[in-house]
Amino acid sequence: MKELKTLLTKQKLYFDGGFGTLLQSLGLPAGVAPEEWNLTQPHKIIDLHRAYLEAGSNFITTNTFGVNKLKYDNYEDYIISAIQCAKVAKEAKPDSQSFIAFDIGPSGRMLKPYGDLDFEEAVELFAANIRVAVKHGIDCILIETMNDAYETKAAVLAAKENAKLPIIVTNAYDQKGKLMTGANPKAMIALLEGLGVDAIGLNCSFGPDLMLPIVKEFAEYSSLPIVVSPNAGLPIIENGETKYDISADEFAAYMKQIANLGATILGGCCGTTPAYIRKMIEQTQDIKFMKPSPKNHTLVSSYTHAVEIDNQPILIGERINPTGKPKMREALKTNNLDYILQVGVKQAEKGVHILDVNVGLPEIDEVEMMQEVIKKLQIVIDLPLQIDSSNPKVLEKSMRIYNGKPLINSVNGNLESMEAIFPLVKKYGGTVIALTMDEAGIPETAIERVQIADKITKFAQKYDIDKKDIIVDPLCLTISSDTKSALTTLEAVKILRQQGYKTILGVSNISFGLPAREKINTSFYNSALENGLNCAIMNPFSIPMLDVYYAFRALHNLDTGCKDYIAFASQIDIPATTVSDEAISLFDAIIKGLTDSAISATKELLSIEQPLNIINNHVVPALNQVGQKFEENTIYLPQLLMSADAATASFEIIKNKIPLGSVEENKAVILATVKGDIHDIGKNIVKVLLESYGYKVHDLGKDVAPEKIVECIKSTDCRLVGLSALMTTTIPAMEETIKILREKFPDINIMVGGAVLNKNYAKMINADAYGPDAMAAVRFTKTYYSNTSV
Amino acid sequence: MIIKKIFDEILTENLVLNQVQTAARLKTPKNFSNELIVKCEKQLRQEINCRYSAVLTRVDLGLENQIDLGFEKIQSKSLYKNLLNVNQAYVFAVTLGHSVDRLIQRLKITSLAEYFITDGLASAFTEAACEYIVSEIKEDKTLRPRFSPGYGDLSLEVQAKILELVSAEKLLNIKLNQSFLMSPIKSVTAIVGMEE
Repeated sequence: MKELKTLLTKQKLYFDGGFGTLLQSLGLPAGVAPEEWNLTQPHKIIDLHRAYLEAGSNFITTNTFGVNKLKYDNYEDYIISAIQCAKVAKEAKPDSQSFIAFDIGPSGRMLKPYGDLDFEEAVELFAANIRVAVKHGIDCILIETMNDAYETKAAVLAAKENAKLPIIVTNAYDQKGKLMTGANPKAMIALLEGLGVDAIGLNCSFGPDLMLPIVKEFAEYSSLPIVVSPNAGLPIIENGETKYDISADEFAAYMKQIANLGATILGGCCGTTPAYIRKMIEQTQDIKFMKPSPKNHTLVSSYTHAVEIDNQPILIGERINPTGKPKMREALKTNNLDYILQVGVKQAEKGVHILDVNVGLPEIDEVEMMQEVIKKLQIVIDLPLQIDSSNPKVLEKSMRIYNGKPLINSVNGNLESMEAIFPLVKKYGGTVIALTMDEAGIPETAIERVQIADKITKFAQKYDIDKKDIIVDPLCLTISSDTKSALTTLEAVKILRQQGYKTILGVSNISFGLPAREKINTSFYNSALENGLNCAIMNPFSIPMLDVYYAFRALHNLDTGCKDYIAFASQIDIPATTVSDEAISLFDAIIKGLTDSAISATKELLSIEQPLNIINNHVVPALNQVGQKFEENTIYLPQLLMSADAATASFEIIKNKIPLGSVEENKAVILATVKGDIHDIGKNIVKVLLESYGYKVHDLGKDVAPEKIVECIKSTDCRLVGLSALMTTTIPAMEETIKILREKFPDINIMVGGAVLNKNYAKMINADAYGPDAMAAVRFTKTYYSNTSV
Repeated sequence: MIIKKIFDEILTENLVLNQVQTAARLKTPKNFSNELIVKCEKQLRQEINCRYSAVLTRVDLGLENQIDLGFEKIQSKSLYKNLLNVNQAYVFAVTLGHSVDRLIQRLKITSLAEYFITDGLASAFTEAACEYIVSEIKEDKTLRPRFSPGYGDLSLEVQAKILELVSAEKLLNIKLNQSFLMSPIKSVTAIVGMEE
C-alpha cells in the first residue's frame, strides 16, 4: 500500500478513538473482553467504526488489541471477524482516504530475561496474528500501547517479516516520560527509526496535557511522522462507572497545541469518543501540515537510553575482547560468563558510554556465545553495545536479539562486506562503523581513505542507510612499522570531520610493538581529539587515557563548570592516600569484610609470601574464624557475605599467581536450583562461600532440568552436587532429580538446602546431607573431600 | 461492582522500613546496621520507582467459603474467614519497578553481600509500600489484615484476576509468568477487607 506510505509524509491524518471504554458504555459487561463482540455483536463494532468515520477519522483500527494465540485457541476467528467489521464500516463510507489499521497490543507476558517469554516466541506470536490479517485485507499495521522496548521490537520484526505494509508504532510512556521498562523517547526513536517503521509516537497512559513535553522531544529527534493518541485525561470512578477528567473541548484544545509542535497523525485512546475526535479534527484541520524533516542525529541505543555521537567525545570500552587478554580468552573457553559480565560492569563504572563486545575465538561457537553474552550484559548494564565481529552470521543473530539500536563493528569498502552488512542494518537497524579499506587494502594517504568512506556511504544509500548512521574509522596503523601513519590517520580524521562524517578510532593500535604503549596512546588520543575525533575504542582502566578525556572536555568547554573533571580528579586522589593510611592485614580485612583492603593486602603479601601459603595462613584461617562467629551467632549473614566477598577478591588475585591444579581446582561442587524454581539467592551464597574457600563451583543456575546436571557430572567427573529449592511446589522436582542422579551415578553425593527443607525432609527425599545455612554446605564439602582422594 | 479506583506513585521518602521486617530479611537482630547496609539502602532508594493501583470493590460472601469480589468468585477458606462480616474490600497491586530488578541482577555478579542485602531490603521496601497503601486507604475505617494470594489456601492463580482488575499490566507493567510469579519481582498483590 504505497499510497498510504506516501500519504503519511504528505498530509495530516486522523486515527479513531477509544474502544474498550466505549464498548462498556454500550453494554459490554465488565470482565468480558472487547474482542468477544467481534463474534457475538459485530453490528455494534461496525456502528462504532462508522461513528468514528463520520467524525472524520481516516483510520479504522481493528478490534484486535487483546487478541493473540496465547489467549485464544481460535484467535484467527477473532481477527477475521474484526477485519470483516472494519471492512463493512469502510464500505458504507467509500472514501479513498479510509484505511484499515490492524491493531496489535502487548502480549500480556514479559519477555526474558525478566519474564519467561522468549524473544523469538514473541515474534512468532505477533507474526501469527499478522499472517491472518494480511490474508484478509488490511492497509497498515498499528503496534500500540507497548510499554517495553523489546516487545515493541519483536512486534515490528514480525510485521516486517510477514507483511509489506506501512508500520505505525505508538508506545505508552509514563508520567516521567519513560516506558515502564525504562526506555526514554530518544531510545525509542533510535530503535524504531533503525528498524525502518513508517510513523512513530505515543498513546494511552494519560491525557494530552501531560504528553506535551514528550511530543516536543519527538519533534526534535524524529525524522518520521509523529502519531499522538492520548487518553481523555485520567480515569475517575463515579457510581461504579469509569469516566475521564478531560472534556472533548479541552482535549481538542490540547491536541491543537500538539499539532502545532509537529505531530501530524492525531487520534485518541481510552475515554475518547467520536465526539472527541470530531472536535479534535475541527480544531486542528486548518493547521498547516508540517512535513517531517530529516534530523541529523547519530544515535545508538540500549533498552533505556540513546547515546548521541555529536560534539562530546565518546568512550567505548574495549575490554570484552579475547585478543591479547588471556583471562578473557579462558573465560570464553570455559563459558565463565560471570567474569565477562564483571569486566562489563567495571568498565561501565569507569564511565564509558558504549561497550565493545568481541567474543571471537576459533575454538568456540561465536554465533551462540555473542548472543549469550549480549543477553546477559543487557541484564546487568544499560549501556548501548558495539557488536564486534567479522562474521556476518554472528552480526545477524546478535543484531536480531539486541534490545536497542546497536553500534556495528564493522563494514569496509569491499563489495562483499557491504553486500553482507548493509542488508542487516536495513533490517535490524544500527549505526555502523565503516573501515576505510577495500579490495586494494588500506590506502596510504588520508584523501584516499576519505574516498573509501564516500564510496561506502554512497553504497549504503541503496539500502536507505543515511550518512548519519555511518561512523568512519580511518584506521590506526602502528607507528613502529610506519612512522608517518599517525599523521595520516590524524589528517583523515580532520578531513572526515570537515565533511560532516562522524569518526572512530581504536586508538591503542597506534603503539603496537612499542614499549610503554600508554605514553604513545594518550598523546595520540589527545591529538585525535584535537582533530575532531568523536569515538575512541579504548581501555577505560587506563587512568592516563581518562586524564586526556576529562582534561580535553574541560579545556574545550564541553564540561560545564568543569564538574566532571573535578569529580574525576577527586576520585583519582582517594586510593593513593587511603591505601597507605588504612592498610590492614589480609586476615583483618577478610574478618571485617573490606574488599578493597583485602585486595591491597594480598598484593603486598604476594611480594613476600608464596601464593599457596597466603591462602593457608591468611585466607582460610580468617574465613574459619568468620564462619565460627557466624555459627555462634556473634556475627550475621551480611557480615559473613562481606567476608566472603573480600576473600573471593583476594583469592582471585592469588589464583593468577599459582599454576592451575595446585589449589582446590580439582575439588569441585556442582550447584543448581531445581527445575521450576527461579529463586537462587541461597544457592549463590553457597557458591561464593565455596569459591572463597577455593573450591571449584560448576554453577548450573536456576530452573535446572535433571538432564543438565547429569550432563555436567559426566563432563566434569565431579561427584558432589548441591541442590536448592525455595518453593514447596518444587520439592517434588528435587526428589525426582535426586532419584535420577542416584540411578545414573550410584557414587553420587548430594547435599540439599533451601527455605522449605529440613533435616527430616532431606532424608525423606534421599539426600546425603541437609545444609540449614551456607556454612553447613562448606563443612559438608570439606568433610567430603577429606574422605575422598582426588 | 467497582466503587473506587486509585493509581498513584509512592515517593521513596514515604517508604519507611519496618525494623522487624528488615532484620528478618537480612537475618540480623533488630536495628542491626553497618556501612554496607547503609550504602545498599541509599543505592536502592535511587532505583525505586514505586507505584500502586488499588480498586475498592463490593464483597459478597456466599456459601461454603465462596467469596464474590465482583470481578471473580473465589473459593478460599482462609480468605473467607478474613473477610467475614465485611462488605467492601480494597484489592491492590504495588511494585518497586524494573530498575530494582536490574540493580539486584547487577549486584549478583559484583558483590554477594550487596546482592543479598539489597534483595532483602527491596523485599522490606515492598512491605513498607503495602503499609503505606493501607494507611492511605484506611480513612476512618477498620481494616482487616492484608491478605495475598499464596497465604493460607488462597491460590496463586487469583493473582491473574487481581492484576487484571487493577489494570496492573497497563498502569504498573506487572506481568505474570506461567508459574504465576510476578515481574518485576519486587511486586505484591493483596486484598484488604474494610469494616463498615
